[in-house]
Amino acid sequence: MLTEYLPIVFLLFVGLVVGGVIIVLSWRMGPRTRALSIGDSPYECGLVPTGDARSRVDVKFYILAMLFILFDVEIVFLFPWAIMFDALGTLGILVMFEFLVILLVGYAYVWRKGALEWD
Amino acid sequence: MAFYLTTILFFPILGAVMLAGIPGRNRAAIRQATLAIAVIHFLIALPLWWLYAPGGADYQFVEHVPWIDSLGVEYHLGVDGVSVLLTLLTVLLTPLAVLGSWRYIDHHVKEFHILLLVLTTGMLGVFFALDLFVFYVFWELMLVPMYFLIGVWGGEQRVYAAVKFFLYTFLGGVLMLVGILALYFHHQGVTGVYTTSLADLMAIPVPGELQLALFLAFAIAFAIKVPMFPFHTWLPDAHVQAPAAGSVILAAVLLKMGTYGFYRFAMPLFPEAARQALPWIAGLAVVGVIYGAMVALVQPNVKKLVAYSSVSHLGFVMLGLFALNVTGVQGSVIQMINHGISTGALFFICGMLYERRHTYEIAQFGGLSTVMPVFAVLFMIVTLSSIGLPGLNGFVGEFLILVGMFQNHPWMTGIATAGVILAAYYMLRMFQSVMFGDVEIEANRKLPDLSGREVAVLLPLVALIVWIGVYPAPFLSRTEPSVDRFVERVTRTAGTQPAEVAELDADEAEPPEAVPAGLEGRP
Amino acid sequence: MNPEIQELLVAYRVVRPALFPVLPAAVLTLFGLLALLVDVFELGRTRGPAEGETGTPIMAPYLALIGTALALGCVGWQAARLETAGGPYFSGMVVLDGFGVFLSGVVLAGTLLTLLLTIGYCRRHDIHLAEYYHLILMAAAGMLIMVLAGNLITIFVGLELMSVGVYVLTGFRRTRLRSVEGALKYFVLGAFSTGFFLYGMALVYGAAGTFDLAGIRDAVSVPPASPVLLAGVALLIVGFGFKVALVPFHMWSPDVYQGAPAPVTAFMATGVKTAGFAAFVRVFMSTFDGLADQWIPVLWALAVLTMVVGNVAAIRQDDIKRMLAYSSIAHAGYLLVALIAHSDIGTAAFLYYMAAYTLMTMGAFGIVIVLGEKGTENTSIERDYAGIAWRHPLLAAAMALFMFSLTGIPPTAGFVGKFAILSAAVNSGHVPLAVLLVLTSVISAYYYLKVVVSMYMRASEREPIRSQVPAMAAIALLIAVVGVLGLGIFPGQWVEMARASVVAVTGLP
Repeated sequence: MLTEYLPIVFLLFVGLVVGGVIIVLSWRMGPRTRALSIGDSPYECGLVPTGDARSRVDVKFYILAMLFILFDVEIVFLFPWAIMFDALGTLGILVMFEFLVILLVGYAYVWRKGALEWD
Repeated sequence: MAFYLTTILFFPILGAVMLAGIPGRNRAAIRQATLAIAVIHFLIALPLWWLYAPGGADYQFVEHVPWIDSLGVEYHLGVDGVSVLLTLLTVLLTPLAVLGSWRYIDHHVKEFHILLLVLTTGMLGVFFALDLFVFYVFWELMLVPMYFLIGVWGGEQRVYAAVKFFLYTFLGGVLMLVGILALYFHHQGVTGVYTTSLADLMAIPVPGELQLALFLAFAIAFAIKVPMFPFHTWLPDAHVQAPAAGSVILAAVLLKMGTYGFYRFAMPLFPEAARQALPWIAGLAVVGVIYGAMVALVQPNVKKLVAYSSVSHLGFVMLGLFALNVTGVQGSVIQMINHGISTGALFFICGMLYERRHTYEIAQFGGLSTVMPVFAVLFMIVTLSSIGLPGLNGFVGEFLILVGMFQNHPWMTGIATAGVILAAYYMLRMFQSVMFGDVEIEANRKLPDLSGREVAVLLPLVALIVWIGVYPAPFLSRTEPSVDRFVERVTRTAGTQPAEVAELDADEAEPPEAVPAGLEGRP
Repeated sequence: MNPEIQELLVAYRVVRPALFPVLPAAVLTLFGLLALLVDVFELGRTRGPAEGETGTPIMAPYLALIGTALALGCVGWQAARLETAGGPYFSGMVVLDGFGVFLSGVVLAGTLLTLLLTIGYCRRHDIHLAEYYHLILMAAAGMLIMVLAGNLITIFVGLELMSVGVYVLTGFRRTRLRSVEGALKYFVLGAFSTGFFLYGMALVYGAAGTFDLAGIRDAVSVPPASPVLLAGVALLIVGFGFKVALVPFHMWSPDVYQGAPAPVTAFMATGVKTAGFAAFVRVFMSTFDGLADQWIPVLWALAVLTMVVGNVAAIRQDDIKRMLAYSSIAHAGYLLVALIAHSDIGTAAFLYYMAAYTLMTMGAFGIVIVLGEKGTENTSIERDYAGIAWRHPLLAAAMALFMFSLTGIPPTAGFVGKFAILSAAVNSGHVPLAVLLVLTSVISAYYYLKVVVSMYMRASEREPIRSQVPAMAAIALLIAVVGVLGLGIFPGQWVEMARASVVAVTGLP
């Protein structure tokens, strides 16, 4: 029974080996210069970072991100329905319609509460 | 006479509802209305005295109405001779309590009287119940108003006393509840029928071990209420803190619940266990008699003295019950009534002293007999009754108890008799220091003698004291058949059970116990 | 006829009976959404005193009330049609049985009383958001789903729907530190317990290969039970234990009960507990019936701990909400005894007690709610309750009644409930547990009496509480008083109903 899971174990094993090999290789073969402090900076891309990384981000970003995830996830429910569309028939349409209505209520709520306004 | 008992039982509740309609400010109207209700109640209940036929059925005025079918609980009331007397005592004391607290209660008058009436219903329910569930409901119901009476209208330590009273009684009650349930399921196991009817539960045999455990569960509840010796500590607190009317009802009726519980439930339901426990309970009763008397001896406080004398007197009542012969039990029943009357009167007297001087300290009084002659006479009669002077009621009860007990347990009786002597000592000494001698404290010089109202409170009680003392026959004859049945039930040995019951119990039946030698020798 | 219309009719015929069991939940959801929408479009809302200020929702509370009443009506309809109800519904995800319908009624009665009490409370404490009513309805819908769940997944969905709503409601007085603290604690520990629950579900699935309660029952009925299954059952006990606040999983409840707005506390103490216990009892009485020998000792120990700790800890509390929190822990212990009895009598006792408990707890919180003043809830037993008997005699009398009922003094619902549970315990041979139950009841008498003592036997030392009872709250209190007395004096038909509801405790095929 557990043999079905063997490919996963195998994949895991391959992943570990590949990752380990890369780390070991770069450690063995890479140049040993750690003199420059720029190598310790968060973004090692040539630009010198300015200011503190722990600055505040406007809460609006969070709200927007949260709303995006919410609606995104709910929209995902449309896909299985779309695939089974023929099999589910009219009943399926009705149920999905009801689902969308609830979604709309949520949308209306978000909109009227002003969560979508930037200013 | 359908629903006669129900009428008696719920009339006070009806009165309480009417009382609730009177505005609280109108105190005089509330007092008068309550008095009227209580007197009418007494008049309604009084015909029981004549209507009850002692030679007739076991329980009379029986009412039988289904209540909770699915649990097998029935609203089942009925009275026998003993409950008739206790009922009459209760309904007599309620109007007296209203009269006695006429001036004593000066705040929240309306609530006080409503609770008093509810309390009456609770007490009567206990005396009427022939179904364990109904009994338990009233048993607990009665707790609540008493708790308020002590807690709201009591003395300085009232809250402590009220909570202690409640917790002690509740503790006993809930253990009994578990006992009731165990019996209930035992009955179901034997017969397949769910019932809480006393008669049905009495009809089945209970195996020895279980019987003893159940008897203990019941006995602890009742022993707390009596109160018997190690469980008595709530009593002095409750009595001293309670208002006069509360103390009176507590002493006169509530304490009888314990002994009545033994008489009606614990002993008839579990006769063999009762006989097994007899030496222990009788022993504790004797200890209670002596202990109560000794503690009363050193009390500087009138009310506490009377409270401890209650412990002592109820020890006698318990002794009488466990004499297990007609004489002793008869004495015990009469003594229940006596104690209600005499101690009730004594607590009224304490209240009258307190109204005048706002203290219960014996040292604060002295020489009152010259100042209050009427009071002195009535107080004297009540004191002598409490001591058990021949010709007054106390003598009848104590004498019968001692005679009954002596037939079976002469040693215990001998020790208990010391309690009678001690009682004479502490009561007379208290009476002497309160009433005789010179008036030494200025405030005592101008105390008013009893008012007409106060005389009216004491007079009926004093009349009963003399009546029972001189001519107890009407009381004894009313209770005798019931007591006969009780003794018959409790002393019946396992071997004499009806055949079909014995068969069910064949493998568990105990060998018949020897009937104690004195039992045949009924006077 | 038009083929499209015909197809719609066919669909309707399929949907209508399928929806029957979830009709009350659907009604609640519908009205919850309506309340939200109406308010968000500024219909049925007073204007604020100045420009830009918020007004008060007028329509939302009444929509919520109507919705709950309708849902209650639907439950009545379900009860009447129970005999002919078919099934399985939603492929067995939902079961419709007497047990579920009875508890649906209890949950909705609790919700209705919460709403009645909440309206005046919100005015007094400046809670002017319609979301409040929306969340109560959604949480109630979650409870109904839990109560009727026939599948671990459904239980979980209901549990989350209920919990998320209640988390937010707990923190509704967000300017109060205690409210926010309570909400955070509840959320973190709630999420934690959800983890336990899910892990337990996963292990049970691993052992049984299905989430369906009937399926699990069939799969695990063959002894010996695998260790995986037992671990799953243990984790489920932890998960349920958190939700219904069994010791030692009760730590959150005093803080949360104290911090939450009083009506929400009442809602938690009744609704959440009912729903949690409903699923608990259903899963253990039906699905894990065969494992009774394994779980009874565990629950036995939990019941002992819960009764002792709950009652002893309550003695020291001065804040009445906190005291009632510990008291509700203790009552969870009593309810657990009914489950341990593991019999039809026990389940009937559980149902009866749940109804009685809901009424008396709601009543007690109702008094707490109406005694609050603007800005303060007045919850100190020593200070705020002293002497109120003579200022608010009816409120005090009602409170005393609820306290006596919680103690278990006849003739109240609490007494008959306790009697029923004790019966069940004694009947199943758990006499020690019954004795412990009554002994802890004696302890509980002490702290319930403390409230009565304070109300009746102490003089007030603060300025008098000025509180008028809002009409709605008065109705709620009246219902509670009549209910507590009615269930206590004439328990016959209710006991009968509880017994009848157990006949098929599971409704599982």
